[in-house]
This record gives sequence, structure tokens and C-alpha cells, in this order.
Amino acid sequence: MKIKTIKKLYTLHSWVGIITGILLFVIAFTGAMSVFGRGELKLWANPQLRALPLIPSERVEQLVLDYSEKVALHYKEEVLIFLPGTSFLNNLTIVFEAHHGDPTLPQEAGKHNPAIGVMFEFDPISHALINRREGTITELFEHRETDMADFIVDFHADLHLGRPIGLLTTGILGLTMMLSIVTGIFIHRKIIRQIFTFRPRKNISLLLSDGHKVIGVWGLLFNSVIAFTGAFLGLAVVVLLPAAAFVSFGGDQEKLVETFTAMPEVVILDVAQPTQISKIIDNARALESDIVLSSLTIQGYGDKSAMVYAGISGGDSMAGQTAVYQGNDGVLLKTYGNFGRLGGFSGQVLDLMFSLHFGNFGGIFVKVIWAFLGLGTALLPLTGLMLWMERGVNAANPKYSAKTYQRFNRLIVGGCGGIVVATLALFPSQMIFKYLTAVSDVGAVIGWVFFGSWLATILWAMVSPCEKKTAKHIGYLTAALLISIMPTNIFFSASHLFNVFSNGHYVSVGIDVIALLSGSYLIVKLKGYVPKQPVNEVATPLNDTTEAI
Amino acid sequence: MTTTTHTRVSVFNAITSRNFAGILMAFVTSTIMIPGMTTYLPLSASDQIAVPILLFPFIWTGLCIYSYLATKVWHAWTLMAALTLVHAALCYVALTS
Repeated sequence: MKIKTIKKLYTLHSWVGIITGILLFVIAFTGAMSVFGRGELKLWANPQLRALPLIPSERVEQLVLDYSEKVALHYKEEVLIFLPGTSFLNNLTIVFEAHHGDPTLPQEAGKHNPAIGVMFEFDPISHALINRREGTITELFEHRETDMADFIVDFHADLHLGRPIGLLTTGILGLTMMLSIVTGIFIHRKIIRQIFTFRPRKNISLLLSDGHKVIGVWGLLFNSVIAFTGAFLGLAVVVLLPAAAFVSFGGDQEKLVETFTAMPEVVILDVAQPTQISKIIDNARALESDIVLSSLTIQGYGDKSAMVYAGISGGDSMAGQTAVYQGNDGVLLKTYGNFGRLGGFSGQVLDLMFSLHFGNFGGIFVKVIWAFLGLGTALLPLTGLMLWMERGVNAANPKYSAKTYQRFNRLIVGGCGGIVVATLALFPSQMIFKYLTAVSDVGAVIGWVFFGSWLATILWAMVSPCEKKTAKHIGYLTAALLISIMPTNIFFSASHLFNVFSNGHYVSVGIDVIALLSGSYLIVKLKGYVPKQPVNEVATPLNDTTEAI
Repeated sequence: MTTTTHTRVSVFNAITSRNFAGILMAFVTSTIMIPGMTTYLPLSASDQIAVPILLFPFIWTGLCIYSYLATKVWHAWTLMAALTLVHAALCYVALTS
């Protein structure tokens, strides 16, 4: 490849990194945390879910029967059952849904009223009714209780900016990450040699340069998968699906989604026969070892024609699956992936998108690998940015003034350090809000702590006299927050190392121990770190005459 | 006393035009190519819709890089304009026939 082309690719690689680096760190770091979001962090945040006993299938069947008698006939079009757990809802939840809204209300020609439902929530242990809600399906799920785990997963998905801005931002960031990867591959062609070249003790420039290349090369496959799936998941709803629906479905995106995902409606025979919910739950739970049954969707409840769709995950399959049962006799008809059922190879790829992005297909071992690699992804833009500044400041002919480099350095320290502090501050905040205040939806208010601490750290870094000392102090604050996780858990939930074998709270205590060890290690490393002079004392301003990219 | 003036030469010419082409035009082209491709890909109905969606990130990356690597920036603009027009025409034909 021509040297001029390499130079162009290098410039492109640098600029993409400079513009998106901080945001990429933010997304990658929260992504590494999100790997544990709908599972381990959910358990830590909700002590009542730890070591939760399985709800007997007969009890679920009885509750559906009892409460189906308390709702109007049109609500029995579809019954949704959400078993309590870490994937979606904390309580056992049964929803009776009328697809076409209230039949007594007038409807516009060619349109039907929005789907409505009645939701019953039951305590996961006593099975007592704790809540009853009625309204449109969107309204019913809007009011679900959320926590720090939901907050961090949602932040990773759309930065809490919602649709379309948030999703568009994260999707475009996935695209720019792909751009960085492709340009990076061409720039660092001597890939094999760079795999084993790491000289951390020579000088800071070599440490950053080697670190950037080693992380990039070892994590190449992972980063490529994350960039592609991230771009897809971010842009799917706001750009890709509307575009795909433009011709094939006359612009009707809902129709496209329905065609791809909807369950075929059953033809009601009006022959009363009980739906074998208990038998189906037992069968679904025993389909494979390590399988998790999270939901049941019943169409034609109480009719001979009833069909039951069980949402399952785990087992040998990488992606979530749907097991289809005949309702009246509980016989398993087939099992398929959500998109895989459509046939073709793309359906299988689409099914894998979510699992590959979040690493939730092989238990805790895969999640740990994904989190480590995710932290590597976060370090890539950080080392790249630091390398760019190091070279810029020490260049014989620096492109920008020392003040500019210093301001940028402060923004990196505050923006990147701040997101780590803000994420860790969620742990004590979760427990304080949950147990010491009357707030029922912690996820809705915890954002004040998150964004407040992030902003405060950025301001701190921007105004402090020496940003390197500030970085060290942020490191100490991070260590303190990590170490505080264990006492917080002990204080609020009484789970600790000495009773873990009796109460079975292995996950939450495991998080406590890892956080304690990480915090202690960070303190040891920080004690040996001596901040150097700030950058404005090293570089000198210069006079550029031509604008260079 | 003499003053030395350092001169920097950009590796890219027409940088503003390349930025527009590489970021915005590449995005518009890749987006319009999605419905356009659904009209001619010789695949099953589901693959015909899903494959263009899956190809989108690769197409954008390729077009973006080409916008910066092309010797003359109008090469990139021409390629993307042609792709956009052809795929928009395919959509129009599919919707009106």
C-alpha cells in the first residue's frame, strides 16, 4: 500500500479517535458494566430477588384461573405471564390483554384502538396480590419498578436521550468504531509482531503506543463484533427498519416488525378446555439443563385452540428461544429463535445480535470474558487519545497550543474518570434510595446522582490546578467507592462472607469481594504513582500557517 | 532576529467536501441502498429485507473510507450519487409498478 494512502488512513484514524474517543470510552465502560446488568447487578440491587425460590407451576396456573374470572371477556384475547427474576420484572406478573382495545368504544375506519390490558402483580414469595393496574399496554409497562441495573443498561443503549437521538448517537458511534478498526488494521499492518510487543517500563510514550496496539490487536475480533452489533442495535429501530419497510411494506414499519416477530393469531373454536399452564411450565423448565423460563404468552386461553409460547434462554442455544406448546394438552410443538423461524441465514444472524453484544449466552464465565474485553475496548480510545496528546505536546512543531492540549487533557480526565465515579456511585445510591427513602422506582431518580457526580467530576478536572493530581484523586475516589460496596451491602441486606453459604447470596457477595479487591489494588497502584508536571509547562505555543487536518 | 514559520500541509485536499461526502452523503447513500437492494437481491423474502440491513454498517464504512482515499473528491461524490440515484429509481419503480 502506498505511503500516502497509509498517511491518509492514519490521519482519518486519529481524527475519528479524537472526536469520538471520550464518548466511546463512556459507552464501552458502561457496556462492560451492562454485561452484568440483567443478572448479577439486578441481584445486588434487589436483595429480595437473591436465592428466590421457583414459583410452583400449579400456583401460577391457579392464579391465572382465579384472576381471569375478575376481568371482562375481551381481556382474555391474550394472557402474558412474567415469572419473577432478573431479566425483566421483579414480581410475578399476569397481564390480560385486549389486542384491539375496548370493543365498546368507537373505532376509526381501517384502524383499531390501541391494545389495553389489566395487570396483576404478585409478591414472588408469598404470591399475594400487591398491585393491580389497567390501561394501554405501553402505560402498564411504563410504571414498572426499575433500578441501577436498568439505569446503566439503558444508559449504554441510548445515553438516556431516548429515541431517536440516543439510539442514533450510539448507532453512529458503532459505525465510527468500525471505521477506526478498519483504518487501524491498515495502519498497523505488522500485526503479528505487535501482538507480543509491550514495553511498559521504557517511557510513557512507548507504554501508550504498545498498549494501544496490543489491546487493539488482541481484542480485534471482539471489538469488530461489538462495533457491528452496536451499530446495528442502535440504528435498527430509527434508520434500518424504516428504510427496509419503505418498499416491501409501503413504509409501514409496524407491519414489517409484526411480520418478523408476531405470533400467528389462533382461530378460536369456542370449545372450552383448560389450558395446561402447569404442565407447560414444568416441561419448559426441564427442556435443557440451565434453562431459564422468563415468560409465557397464551392465545385463546381456556379454549381448545389455545397456543402457548414460552420465552426461554440458556441451555445449548446462544440466543433466546420460543418454545411453542398446544395449550389444551401441553404438548411441545416446536422450538425456534425469534428470527430464526423465518428461515434463511439472516434470521440466525439477527438472533445472535443481542447475545453477541452482551455476552449473555454462556453463563458467568462468558460474561467475565466479555466484561474484560469490554474494558479493553474502553482503554483503546483512552490510550489513543493520550498517545495523540503525548506526541502533540512533545512534537518539535506542535499543532496546537499547550493550553489547548491541557484543556483537552482535563476533559479526558473529567469525562472518562467521571463516568467511572458516576457508575460506581450508583451502588450506594441504589441502597440508600431503596431502603432510606419512600422512592419506589429507584431507576427514575438515580440519574440525578449519576449525572450529578459525572458533571461534578468534569468541573473538578477543568478547574483544578493540576489535572494529573486530579486524575490521582479521582483514582482514590474510585477506589473508595469500590471498597464501599461491600459494607453497603452488609448494612442494607445483611449478606456477607460469613453467611453466604447459608443464604445462598453468592452473586452479590461475589460482587462485593471483587469490588473490595479491585479497590484495594487500585490504592496500592496509586500510591506508587507520582504525577508529573502539567502539559502547559512542557510544550510551547507555535505559529501555524496552514490548517492541517 | 529571524522568525521561523512552520508550514503544515494537509494530507487531504478539499477537506470540507470530503467530510460532507464521508459522513453525510455516505450515510444517505447507505440508507437509500437498503430499500433499493430489497428490490433485486435474489434471496428469500426474509433475507431480502434482512441482508441489506446487515450490510448497512459495512457499506457506510466502505463509502466513508473511499471518500477520504479517493484521489479526487468528485470521484467519491459521483459514485455515491450514482448509487443513490439508481437505488432511489429502483424503489420508485417497485412502488409504482
